[in-house]
Amino acid sequence: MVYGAVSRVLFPVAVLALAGAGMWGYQENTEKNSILIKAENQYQRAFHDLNYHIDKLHDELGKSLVINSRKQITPCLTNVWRLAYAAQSDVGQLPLTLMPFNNTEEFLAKVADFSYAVAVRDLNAEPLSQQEYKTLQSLYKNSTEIMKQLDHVQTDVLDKKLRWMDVETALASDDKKSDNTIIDGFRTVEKRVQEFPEVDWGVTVQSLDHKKQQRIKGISGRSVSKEEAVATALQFVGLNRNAVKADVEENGRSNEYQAYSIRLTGGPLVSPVNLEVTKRGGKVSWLLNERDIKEENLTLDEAAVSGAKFLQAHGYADMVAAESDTYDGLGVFVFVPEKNGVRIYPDAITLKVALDTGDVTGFHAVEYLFNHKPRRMEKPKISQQQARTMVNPNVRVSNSRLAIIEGKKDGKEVLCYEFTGHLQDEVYRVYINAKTGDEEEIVKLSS
Amino acid sequence: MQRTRGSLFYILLVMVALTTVGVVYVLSSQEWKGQDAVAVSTQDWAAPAKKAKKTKTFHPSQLSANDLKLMANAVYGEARGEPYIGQVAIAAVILNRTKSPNFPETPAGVIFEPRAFTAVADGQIWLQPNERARKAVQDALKGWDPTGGCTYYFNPATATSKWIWSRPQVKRIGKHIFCR
Repeated sequence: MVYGAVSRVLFPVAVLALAGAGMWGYQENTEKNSILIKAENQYQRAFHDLNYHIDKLHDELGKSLVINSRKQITPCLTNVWRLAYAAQSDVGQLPLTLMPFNNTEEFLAKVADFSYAVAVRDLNAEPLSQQEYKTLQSLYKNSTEIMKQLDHVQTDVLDKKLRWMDVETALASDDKKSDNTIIDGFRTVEKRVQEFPEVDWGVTVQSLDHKKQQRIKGISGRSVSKEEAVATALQFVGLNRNAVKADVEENGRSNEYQAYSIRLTGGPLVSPVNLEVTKRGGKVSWLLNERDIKEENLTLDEAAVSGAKFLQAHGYADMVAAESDTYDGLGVFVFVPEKNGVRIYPDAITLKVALDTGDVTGFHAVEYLFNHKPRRMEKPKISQQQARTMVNPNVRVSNSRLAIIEGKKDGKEVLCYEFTGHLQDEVYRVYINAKTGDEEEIVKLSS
Repeated sequence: MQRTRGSLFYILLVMVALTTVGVVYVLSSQEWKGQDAVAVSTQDWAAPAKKAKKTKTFHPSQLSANDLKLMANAVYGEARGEPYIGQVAIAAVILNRTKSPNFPETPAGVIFEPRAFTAVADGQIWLQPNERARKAVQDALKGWDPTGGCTYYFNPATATSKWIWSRPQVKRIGKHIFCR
C-alpha cells in the first residue's frame, strides 16, 4: 500500500525529470555545436584569407620586378605593404601563438616595412636602387616558397575537411606527439623561412634593428656588484641600509639591458618600492613606489617644481617639464634637458609626482640612460622665420623653439624647429628640420 | 473527492519539477559569469578623478579610454593576485607585443589573439577590474617596463607548452616567468 502510493507519486516525477533533463541536454548540445561551428568558421575565414593575401602578395612582388616606370612602382609597392599587413593580421587570428611561427611573421612585417619605406619615398628624387631591386627579387623568391607551402596546407584542409578546432586540441595536448596536418604544414613553412638567405632590408629596417642591438649591448661604464647596486638604490631613495629589507634579483642575460631588480620593503616605507639598477654603470634606470595617493593638495605646476627639484638632487640638472598628464592623484611629467634653448627630447626622464605630498613615486630614465651623450650643438642653417613658412598656413602657431628629436626615417637625431599650434581646437607640434626645412614629424597632443 | 485531491497533488508535483528544471537551466546558462562577477563593485571608473585645482595637461595622444579599459580587463584577469609590479609587467608585455613584428599591432589584436592569454580563453577577462589594474596599465603606458622588453610570460605551475620553456628567460615576478 505504502509502496504503491510512493511509486504513484515518484514515477511521474521521475518521468518528468528525465524528459526535462533530456530536453535540456539536447538544447545545450545543439547550442554547443552551433558555437563550435561559428568558432571553426572564424578560423577558416582567417586561414583562407591568409592564403588569398599571400597569393596576391606574391603576384604584386612579381609585378614590382617587371614594372619599369616610377609612376607604377608606388601603387604596386603600396599594395605589397597592404597585403603583407593583412596577411600578418590573418596570422594573428589563428591559434598559432604557442607554436614557432615567429620567423614567418617577422618576414611579413619586414616585407611591409621595406615596401612602405620605398613606396612613400620620392622616387623621382631617389629612384629604386640596384640593391633594392635585388631585395625585391629575393622577396619574390621567398614569397613563392611560403605561398607554395601554404597552398599545400590549404588543399589538405579542403580535401580532407580538416578542422582548425582540432588544431586547438592538438596544441593544447602539446607534448604528446601532435600529429596534425595543419600544424605540420605551418611548421614546414616556418622551417623554410628560417632557411631563407639573409635579405638586405635597406637603411630604414636595418637602422631600427641596429638600435635595438645597441640597447641590448647596454649602457657603458664599470660593472657593479649586487651589494653596490643595493647601496646605489638605498642612496637614491635616501634610506639607511639597516632601515629596510632589500631583495635583489639578477635579471637574465637576454634582457634589453643588464640590471639588478631590487625591492625595498619595511621600515619607514609604507608600501614596497621597486627599482632597477643597471649592471654597467650602476645607474637607477627606474623606480616605482606602490603607495596609494591620499587627498590632492598640489597643483600640477607645484608638482612639476617638486619633480625638477628631485631631478636636480639626483644629478639631473637643467631639465624642464616638456609634457604633463594627470591620473589617480598623480602628476606625470616628461622632463627633457634644455641646453641653450634647445630641448633634447631623446634624453627623456618620466616622473610621477604624488599630488598629496609632492613626493616622487615613479622615476623612469631608461631613455635618458641609453641616449644621453655629450652632444656638439649644431647651428640651424635656416632661420626661424624661414622654417615658419614651411608650417601649414592653417595652423595658428603659438609657440616655437629649437629641439633635437629622433628622425622618423632612420631614428637618427635631427635638429628641428618645434612649432606648437592649434588647428580646429586641437593642439599639434610640428617639427621642421633646421637644416633642410623638411617637415620631420607632427605630434598630436591631448590636453 | 479522493480523486480530485490526488490529481491536485500531481499538478503541484509537476509544477515543482518544472521549476527545478527551470532553475537549473537558468543557473547553468549564467555559469560563464563566474563567481567573482557576482561580488562586483559598482565602481564608476570612467569618470575622471575629481580635480580641485585643475591645470591643463599637455602630452601626446595615446590609447583611447576604451583601449585602457580593455587592457585593465586583461591585466586583472591574468594577474589579479599578483604584486603590483607584476601587473605593470603584464601590461608592459601587451604593449611590447604591439610593437613587435611577431604580434598584432593593436592592444585588442594582442589580447584576443587565439591562445595568447588564458584569462581570455576562460572568460576571466570579463571580471570587473579594480583600480590597481588600471593604474598598472597607465604606468606601463608611460614607459615603465619591469620586464625589460619581454613579449612572453608563463606560470611555471600551469604552463602546458614545452616550447615556452625554450624562450630566453629574463626574470620572475610573483608567479610568472617573463621571457623574450
